[in-house]
Amino acid sequence: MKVLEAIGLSKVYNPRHSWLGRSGREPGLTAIDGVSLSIAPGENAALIGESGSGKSTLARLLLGLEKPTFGRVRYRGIDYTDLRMKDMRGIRSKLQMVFQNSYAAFNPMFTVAQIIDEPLRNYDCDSVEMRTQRIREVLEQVGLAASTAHKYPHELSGGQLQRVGIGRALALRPELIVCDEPFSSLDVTIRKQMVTLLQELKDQLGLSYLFISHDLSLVQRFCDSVTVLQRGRIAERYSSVHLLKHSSHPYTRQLLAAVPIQHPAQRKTPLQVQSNHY
Amino acid sequence: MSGIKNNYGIRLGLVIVLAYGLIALFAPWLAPADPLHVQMSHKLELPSWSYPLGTDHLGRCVLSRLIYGTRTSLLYTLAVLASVFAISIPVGLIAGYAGGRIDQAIMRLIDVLLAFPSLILSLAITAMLGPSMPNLLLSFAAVWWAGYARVIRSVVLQIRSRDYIQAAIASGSSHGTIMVRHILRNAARPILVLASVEVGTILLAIAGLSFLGLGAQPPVPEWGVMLSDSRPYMQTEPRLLLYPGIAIMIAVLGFNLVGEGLREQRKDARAA
Repeated sequence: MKVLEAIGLSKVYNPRHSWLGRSGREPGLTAIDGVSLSIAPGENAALIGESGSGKSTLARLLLGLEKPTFGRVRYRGIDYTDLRMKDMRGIRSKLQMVFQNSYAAFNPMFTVAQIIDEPLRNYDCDSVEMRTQRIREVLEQVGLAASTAHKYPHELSGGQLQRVGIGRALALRPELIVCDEPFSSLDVTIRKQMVTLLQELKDQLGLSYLFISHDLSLVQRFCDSVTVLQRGRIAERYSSVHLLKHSSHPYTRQLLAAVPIQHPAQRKTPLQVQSNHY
Repeated sequence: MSGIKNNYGIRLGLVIVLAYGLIALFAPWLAPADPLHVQMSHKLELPSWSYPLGTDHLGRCVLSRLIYGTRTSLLYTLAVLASVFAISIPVGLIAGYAGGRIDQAIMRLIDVLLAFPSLILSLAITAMLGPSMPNLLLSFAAVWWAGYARVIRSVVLQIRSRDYIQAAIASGSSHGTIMVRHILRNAARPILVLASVEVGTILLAIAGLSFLGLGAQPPVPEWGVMLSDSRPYMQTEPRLLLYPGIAIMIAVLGFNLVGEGLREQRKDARAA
């Protein structure tokens, strides 16, 4: 059974019915338009697309952080589209997220321990000792020193913060982690460490990932399937990332052309970039 | 450079505020006489050893009345501040956090309230309820919360858009937890700064309404009441108006210095 399944998801912002507002006749902004996708257990799915293609919106819809205008989302066959905040908690613990901007992703008033403790205290009726134990475990899993627990986000580096973010996502032992551009703010060496860390965690814990990225080189190295999102719609989908380079879709070709090459000798004839969107 | 200058301002302000606080606290020990004791035989006396600032038209010790007036003024300022924030914090928090229709409804109500000049409106309410300090407090709270709720809402909106709020939802926290643990905690500092900036205004408004006879009622020692009591003697004994006037001026100055200083510091901290 699929860990996550989305059927015909659409999200329209500012639809007409607004009460006393300046609704007028604007049709609203369609951020996501009829997207269906599914993620199998243990799969590393990738979602690629340029900025503004609706990747992050889709992530929020999949995690139930926002309600879709149309469409359904299911976790292992359980439909959670219309669940209220309270009833959703059981499913939330299975679907977690690592955020893009690590500095904005943490309450500046919380220590690392409190950050990782937050999901724990929402689910475990366990004692403080057990939660402390779990925090220590998680910190070890993401490769942070136990002393990090008492630090505040502003005292940590970008790489350490991203590890904390992964730790917070891991705390509840989820089945799927959605990573929204998790490494876009990190430098190349740390990025590599992170990929290794995520791969190790996956092997240890049998996680599935949904990678949201525009870093195609990372996607090609790390992911199994890939979905290409263009202006809120699925442009293409491949069950294997290796098929991506044979794509004939103009948008995918453009994204591929944007990947930096490692050596000038690898440079092919410059690709004609058409500005057909916008 | 500006940091040092601001520091001096804040320090001076703190000294003034602290001094007023101590005077209010220890009024019974500091006052040389009973502020309510009427002695017609001693009326309108000039400063002397037994009455350091002289006596008023009923022969009461002016210094004692000033000292006890500090107590009245500070107490009611704090009470007004507390009740204003007791309304505006939850309202602003809910409007900013819930958004949508709830926000729209609350904001339109606030717009209506803000369309009236606030002092005039609280004046009208006090006059309607009957002039007394508790009614003054009520009318201030009923009118002034609107402006603060609006500011608090904008602070909340700013915090609400951060990723850590999304993260909190994703980790299964309830709305209440998020509002208190994440939003209120991070909004506390800007709210405190807002409060400190506004203390002076509230103090002045209370004295103003008391002067008009809508706040503290004679013979309660209060600066505004002292001003209005002495008004008939403006020509012959102007010093009687000068004392409470100076007391009000310095108090407002002190609170404003502290508030401005805190605001500047916050701006610096945000810029850094």
